[in-house]
Amino acid sequence: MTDEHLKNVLRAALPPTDHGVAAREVWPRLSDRLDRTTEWSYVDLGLAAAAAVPFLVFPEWLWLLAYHL
Amino acid sequence: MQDEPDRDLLRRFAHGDREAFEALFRQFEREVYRWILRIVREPDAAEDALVEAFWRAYRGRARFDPSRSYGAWMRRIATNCALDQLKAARRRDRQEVVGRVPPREPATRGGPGGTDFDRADNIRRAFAALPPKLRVVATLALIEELPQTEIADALGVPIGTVKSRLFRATRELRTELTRAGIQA
Repeated sequence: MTDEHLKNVLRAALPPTDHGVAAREVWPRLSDRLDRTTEWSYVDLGLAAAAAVPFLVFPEWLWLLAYHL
Repeated sequence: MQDEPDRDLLRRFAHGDREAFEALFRQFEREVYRWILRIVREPDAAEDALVEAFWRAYRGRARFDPSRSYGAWMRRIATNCALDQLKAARRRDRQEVVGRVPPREPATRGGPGGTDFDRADNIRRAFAALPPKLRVVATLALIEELPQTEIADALGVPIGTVKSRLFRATRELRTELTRAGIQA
C-alpha cells in the first residue's frame, strides 16, 4: 500500500472536517468556569499549608532556611 | 492564520483583563474550534476542548509574551487540549471494551475488505486504535494534508518527531488494514 493510496483510503472513510462552528454559544460556559476558578487551587493551598506547618511547629528552622537562601 | 490582535489588547489580556480576554475569545473562537475539530472530529468533544483551551490560556496568561503571536500560542494550547480529549476518549473506550476490539473479518462479498460499510468501519477502527500522539499527526498529515512544519509548530515538537510519529502511524495503519483485508 503506497502512501498515496493509504491517504486516499483514509480520506474516503474519514473525510476532512467541514470546518463548522460550535453549535452552542460557548462564552457563558467559559465565563462560568473562570468565575469558579480561584487563583489558588486546593492543591496550591494544601502545598502552602504543608510547607508552613513545620515552621510553625519548629520556628527555629526559619533561621536554617534564612541561612540557605 | 487570523490577523494578530493589537499589542494593547494582548498586554491587557496578559494582565488579567477579562474584557480583553473576551475580545480575544470572540476573535479566535472559530479558528480554534475548527482546529480542534480537525483533530478530535467530534463536535461535542471539540466544544469541551475549546472551553478547556481558552480556560488554560487565561490561567496561563502571565506566561504569554505579548510580542509573540497570540494565534500560534493559542493553537499550541488547543492542540494539547485536543490531544487530551483523544486520550480521555481512548481511556473511556478501554473501560467499555476490555482488550482490543478485533477488526471485522473480511466479508466474502463486496470485494477486498468486505462491503463498503465494513471497509469504512474497519478503517475507522484501525485509525481510532492508534495511540493519540500518532493519531494527531496522522489526522493532520494524511487526512487534513497539512505541512509537517505546521504540525510541528502546533504540537511544539521538532519536525523530526513529526516525521517519526507519521512513520509509526502509517506502519501501524498498514498492519491493521492488511489484517482487516484491505489492500492496495
